[in-house]
Amino acid sequence: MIAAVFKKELLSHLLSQRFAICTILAVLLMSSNGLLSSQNWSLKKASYQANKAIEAIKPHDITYYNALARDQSVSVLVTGLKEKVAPRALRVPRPLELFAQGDEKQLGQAVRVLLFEIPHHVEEVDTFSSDNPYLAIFGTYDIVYVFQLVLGLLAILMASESISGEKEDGTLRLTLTTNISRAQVLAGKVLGGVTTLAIPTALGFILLMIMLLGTEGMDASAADWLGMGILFALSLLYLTVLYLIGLAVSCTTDRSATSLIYALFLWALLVIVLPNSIAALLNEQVNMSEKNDQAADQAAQVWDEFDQATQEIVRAQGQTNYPPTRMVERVFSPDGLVIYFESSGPLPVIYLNSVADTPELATFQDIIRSGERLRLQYAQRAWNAQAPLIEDFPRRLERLNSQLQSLSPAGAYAQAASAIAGTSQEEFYGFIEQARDYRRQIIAYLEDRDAFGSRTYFNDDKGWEADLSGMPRFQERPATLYQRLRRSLLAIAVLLVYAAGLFALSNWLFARYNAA
Amino acid sequence: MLTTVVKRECIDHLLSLRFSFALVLVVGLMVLNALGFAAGTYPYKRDGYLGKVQAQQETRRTNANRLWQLAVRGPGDLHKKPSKLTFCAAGADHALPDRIGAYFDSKFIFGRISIYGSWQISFLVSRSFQTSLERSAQQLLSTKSIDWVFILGVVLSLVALLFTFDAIVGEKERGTLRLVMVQSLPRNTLLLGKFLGALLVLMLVAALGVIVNLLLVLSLSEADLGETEAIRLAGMVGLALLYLSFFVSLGLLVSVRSSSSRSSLVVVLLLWAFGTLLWPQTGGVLAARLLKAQSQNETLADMRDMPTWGRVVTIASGLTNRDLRNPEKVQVLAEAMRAQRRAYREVEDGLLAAQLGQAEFARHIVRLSPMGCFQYSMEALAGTGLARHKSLIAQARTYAQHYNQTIIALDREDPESMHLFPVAQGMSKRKVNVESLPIFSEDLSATTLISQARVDVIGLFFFAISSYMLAYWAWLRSSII
Repeated sequence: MIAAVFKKELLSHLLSQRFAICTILAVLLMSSNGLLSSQNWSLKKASYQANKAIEAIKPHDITYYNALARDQSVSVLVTGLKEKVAPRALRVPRPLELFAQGDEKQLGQAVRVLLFEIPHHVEEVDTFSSDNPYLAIFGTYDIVYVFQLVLGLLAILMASESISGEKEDGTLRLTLTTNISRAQVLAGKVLGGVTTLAIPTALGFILLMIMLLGTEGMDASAADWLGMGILFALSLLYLTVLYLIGLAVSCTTDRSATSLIYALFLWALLVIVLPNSIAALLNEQVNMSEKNDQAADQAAQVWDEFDQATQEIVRAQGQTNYPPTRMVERVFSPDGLVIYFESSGPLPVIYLNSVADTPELATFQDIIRSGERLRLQYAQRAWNAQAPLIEDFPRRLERLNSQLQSLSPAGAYAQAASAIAGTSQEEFYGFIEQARDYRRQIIAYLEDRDAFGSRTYFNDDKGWEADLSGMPRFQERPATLYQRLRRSLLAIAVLLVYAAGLFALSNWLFARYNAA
Repeated sequence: MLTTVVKRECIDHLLSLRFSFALVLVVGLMVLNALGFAAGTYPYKRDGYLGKVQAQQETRRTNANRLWQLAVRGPGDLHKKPSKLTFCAAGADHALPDRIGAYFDSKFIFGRISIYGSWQISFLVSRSFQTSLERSAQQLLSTKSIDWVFILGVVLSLVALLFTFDAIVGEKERGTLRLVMVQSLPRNTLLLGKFLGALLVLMLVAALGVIVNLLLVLSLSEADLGETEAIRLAGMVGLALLYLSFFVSLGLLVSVRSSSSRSSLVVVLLLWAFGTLLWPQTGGVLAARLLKAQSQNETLADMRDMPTWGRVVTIASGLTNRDLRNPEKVQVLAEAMRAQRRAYREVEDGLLAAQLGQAEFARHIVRLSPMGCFQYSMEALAGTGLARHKSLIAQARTYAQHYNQTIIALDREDPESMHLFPVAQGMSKRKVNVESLPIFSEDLSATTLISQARVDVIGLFFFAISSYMLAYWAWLRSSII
């Protein structure tokens, strides 16, 4: 008997005008959006590969170890020094970003890995694969948003009239006079509705697959394709929840016009207003500039302590400054530039050109060795002082945001989708963790060759050049599908609870519904 | 006749379910907005701004009071005054720098002499954030807001469409339209009546929301809104009126053309979702693909080995400290340094023009939707967003010229100086009264801001008038049965 109701529902939905309009619009939006994001993705991938090639060459260019502590921005100002800078850890573009952008727009694609700084500084936040920073003020949307908005609207509109509308038409009484139970009628309606919604969803996903296959440089793995299957199920689950919301509304009113208005306001509230308000209110509380100022103060304090600690080291050798460059005899070089030296906290530039080989040089190297090891310790201390302010705090708020977002079906859907696509904050912090690991590897590698105590640390005269070709390289390992799925579990569970609860509610309401 | 229709429409709307929903939604959001702003970051930003400006004055007074030092160090960063009206239009200010960087290179040591690179103003975003840290942490946070632009532009426009989607077609379905038309009521009067009725009720909702919002902001937040702010807020309400009248007419138009109120509803909803939510979010990506701007990374890489800088290095490396007392030799260095400044300025200005051009192109794309015009005109009035930043850039540029001209003029007065700006050794070593140097203060008068919103206000008028005319035209041609 359910089959009869199911068939009737399916046909009436499929033949309705709004189904046609919504499907056409959704398909148009998804294909245009998909095209643009596929182009963007190709550019991103190309730039990833270009950057990776640069990173591969970098260690060969570095001729003295201290260059590993140097940031690009320093060397820009210190004109005359050759471009030799520390490596960067690069983030692999995620294929499923085409579907769910998540926080991709705000997240950087690279993080610098300096000797005396715990990696946290995000670089290459390339909006729309362009390095024009002013484009960052423009928003963007993804296919998840089209699902949330357009197909969500279709779902809620379809359902909101399915009981009260039939009552107005008088067909509801007719249906109920046959020996179908009310529960069966409702189940048939839900099945019919969800099947109808599966059609534009499937269309969207087929489009997406075509886009994915046609994207230049795309290397989606089997896990990614499986992830896409999960995203399909997830999208359908979200639409089911919205359909059930509409159905519950429909069971509470007698007139279809009233239930339509109720459903629309609920849609606007749940899909647009609530997710926006939660994020906005939390953002307003985040005074990052205050936290940054405090963190900068804390770090400056730690580096002041470092300066004092190094004073003790140099004083023991009868010197006054760290590093005691006066100990080193220098030969004037024809290049013009003889010495560049600056010891500023985490970004020291210690570079001595043309050093004379004197007995004092060994002592100088010893001082540098202990001084730089101390600098490593203070780098960790400085980060420990900063981390609660500039990392833990925004991260906590971000987590709170995603938990609160998950309360609304649209938010839960977006959270789950970005977790599965690998574009969530969690995934990004996984990348940062790997970059930190990489820094530890570099330090271990340097310690292995006593780099801090060697002349090559600060000097690359002929015969003293460093050979860093064996230095470890960075390769990001994106989270596995299993890990990504686990991150999305909370949001999926919320959606399932919504679906079950709303179905029970509609059943309860419909059992008491006055069909006359 | 008109008043009867308007009155009837108003009463119908006021008693409807959608009115109460809309009222609750808009007022609720306005309360949230005010609470968020009151507990928000404005006081910190304002204090930070005042503190930085004052600290700059202090350093100038104590550290550098010899003319050559002032010429080398410049005035320090030029800060953007935080807007009090961010709760009206946030304007993506988190993504824009809060200052124009005016940095000076430290000492360069060439062989036997050291020279100072004189100060330069830099519009590059990467150089204008105080620390790179600040920027990275800001980017980790998502960027949504519930400002007036969202409440009036997104939520209330939806309400406007919900008020009018069945204005004609609904009456047709119920049969009341024929009844009304029998009473020798001119068609245009009926349409105008419906238009005014819906708009009046909408403005009532907006006004209630705005009043509640302003009362809360005034009583809870530290931002003291003065007379200029009052004018701007009034302007914003005017903009909302224009903007909403577009949606009322749009609803009427669709209602006239539709065969049933059901399909009318779907059409207006999709139009709304596309126009207010989706289209404004395509501007950036379309501009990035359609209009190629020169790459910042490449330009910066090119800047690193400019031939003009190579010349400065060659000349400076050949000089001794004694040469720096010889006007002829310093003259050569000064010319090379001036050429370097000009070349640098040229490259950076070119890059900035390309970047802003691309952003402006993206804004033009967004402006094709009334939501874009509304948002940008609101931002201009609130003193946020790209329009404000562009005005800051223009003013900073004028100020930088003025500052250097003042320095050169002061230098002329000293007979002992070689008058060779920008070489520090070639300039006056006299102490200067720092008060005689210009101080940067942004001109934020309403006229400058409104002039930036000209295009948008014209756009809003265009949208409002043309949509009403279209609705009128369609209505005259429609059958009422």
